[in-house]
Amino acid sequence: MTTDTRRLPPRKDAVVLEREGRPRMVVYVFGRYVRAAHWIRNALLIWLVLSGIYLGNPFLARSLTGDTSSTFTLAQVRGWHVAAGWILLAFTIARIYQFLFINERGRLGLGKELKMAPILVNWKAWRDQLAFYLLMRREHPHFTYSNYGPLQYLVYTALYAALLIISVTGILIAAPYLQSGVAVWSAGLLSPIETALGGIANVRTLHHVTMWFFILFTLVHIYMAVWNSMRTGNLLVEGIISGFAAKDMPDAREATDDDFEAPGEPAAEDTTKEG
Amino acid sequence: MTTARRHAGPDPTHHDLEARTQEHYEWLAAEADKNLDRLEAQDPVHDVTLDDVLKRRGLSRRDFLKMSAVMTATLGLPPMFDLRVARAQEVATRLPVIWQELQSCSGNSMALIRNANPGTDELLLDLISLEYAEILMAPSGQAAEDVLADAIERYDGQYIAVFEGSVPVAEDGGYLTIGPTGETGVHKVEHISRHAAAVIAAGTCSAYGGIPAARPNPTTAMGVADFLGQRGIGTPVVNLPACPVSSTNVVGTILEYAMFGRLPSLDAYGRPLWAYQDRIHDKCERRGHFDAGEFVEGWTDIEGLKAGLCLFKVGCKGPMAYNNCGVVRYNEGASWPIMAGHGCIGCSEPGFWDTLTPFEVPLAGRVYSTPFGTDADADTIGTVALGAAAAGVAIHAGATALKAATESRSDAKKEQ
Repeated sequence: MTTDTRRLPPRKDAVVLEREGRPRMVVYVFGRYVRAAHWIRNALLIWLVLSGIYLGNPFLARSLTGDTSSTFTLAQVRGWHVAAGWILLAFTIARIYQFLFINERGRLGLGKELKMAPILVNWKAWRDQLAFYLLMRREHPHFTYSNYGPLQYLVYTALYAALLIISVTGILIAAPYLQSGVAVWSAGLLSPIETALGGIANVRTLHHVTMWFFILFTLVHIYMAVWNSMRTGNLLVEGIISGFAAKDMPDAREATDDDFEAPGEPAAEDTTKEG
Repeated sequence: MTTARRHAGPDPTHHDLEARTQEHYEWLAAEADKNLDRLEAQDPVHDVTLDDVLKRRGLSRRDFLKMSAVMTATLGLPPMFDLRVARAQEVATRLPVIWQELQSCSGNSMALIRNANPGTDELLLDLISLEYAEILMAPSGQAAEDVLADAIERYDGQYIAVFEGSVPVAEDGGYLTIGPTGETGVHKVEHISRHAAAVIAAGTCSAYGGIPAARPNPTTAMGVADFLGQRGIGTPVVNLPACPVSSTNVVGTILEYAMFGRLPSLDAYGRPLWAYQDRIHDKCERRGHFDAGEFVEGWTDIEGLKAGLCLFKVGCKGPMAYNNCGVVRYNEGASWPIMAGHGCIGCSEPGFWDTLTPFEVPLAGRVYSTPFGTDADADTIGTVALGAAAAGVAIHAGATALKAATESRSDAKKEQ
């Protein structure tokens, strides 16, 4: 990430754009890893949902013509579903690690994002955020200690929880299909969860229901990102592709660390402000 | 590891494992011999001998040994146990058993006695000292109760209690009364279990509550193990769920008890591993069609049914059920549901009536009650929620456009 940091425009050289009648500086907010991880997870989730729907109720027609002794349609879909699930779990673990243990300086410590948790019980933040979403206020509320609004923080935390739930239930479902390996080994460790849920049937049901969280999340996430980007002119939709997004000029209000980072400091990793 | 073994000769750890397994079996065999000697030294509790039973059934000693060998394999034991299983059946005459019906349909008893050909199962039924079994015994009324009381007293701490049916605990157990004195099932289970050496819960109802325990469970039915746990009765329980339980599993458990003097290793739901450690799905003769993606599409798909394709899409719950039906089958190994062309309903799983229904659609079609009065499956609920979210998005977007228009108009006015 150090190469990214070097390209962070310093305050004086920041490209200044006129957006919504106000000058905005365009800064580098999403590093390469963040952007790549975002789109890889997106692609994995699309495949996992589509293949998962097939596995739950196999809709592809069978072939009754000719020899099908070497056809393994469902086994192959299942294999690639499980493979994608493992990759998604790897990204999820990396993301949760970053959330919990990467501090403001990009070093190991108490997570920068974890420290933003008090936003969840900041009732003024809730009121301002909801008023903004309900069109009762024009300005996006500014949270000095959090990159996220309270609703956003809650939903993203729920997203990581859902990713863990669907991974754990997925491992428990996949393990009986395998002879050995990491799935079988980890299912052995996770089996008390299966027992507590009351059997593999409930594990499957939970896996299926959790899928709907991702589908609903995707719709609302895309809408909120586009809406925020248009309403506030912060270019965050463009940002998840290019890495650059618009921020208010620091001198427009009290400057904070988030507005400006000196060269040499690591970039703010995941300053998603979209929704 | 596989490649390493291929190049570097036999894997030493593999040899270790073999030696350790052999050692373990020898230890087990010694245990069995010790226990069988102990049992043989006791007086038989009734005057039937194996020879009598074999003669009556027209079986030779050779037939008997063959059946014992099959039973040994079913129990997951090596051939060195063949003769020990045979001996366990001979000394089973020393094993008192009390079979108590609870909130049940007697289907498990029926399955056990309705065997067309004499096999190990029925043979053992003749051999064991079945002290009390309402379905099979001649006495009735007070006479039957006397037999039970007498058996409990005489074989205190020695008999095996087999329960069939769930324990209804609501209304102080008033939903189930038994015998001329109207004793409740709750009381019967407590009394019989307290004095038993071991408890076998035969069938899903006595194992997990079964159909009587399905929502809304009006009688507050529960499995025997849960009930005993609640009442603090520590008698070991083995669950033998299925509807009905396969007679092989009942007989195997009794034989294992006769042989080793203890109950078999159990899984998380109290089921013996030798019978319940594998999924129906993994021992299914139609499994190849599952992996190939070849399914019976519906009950009118005659072509698919005739071809013996996978029954997953017509609701087979084999992937969610653990039992050995596919191996031991029912009715003397004649057939089992999937062989007969209907999917598994997962009857040996806890709460199967609630978690695995509807039986003739895949699990994804499980139905939930919704606050709108109609029941729907997860995908319908999800689709409706998605539609509602999309409608919300459209309304919010429209409102934002209107708001933005008013805002820009007022901005323009301000500038003037």
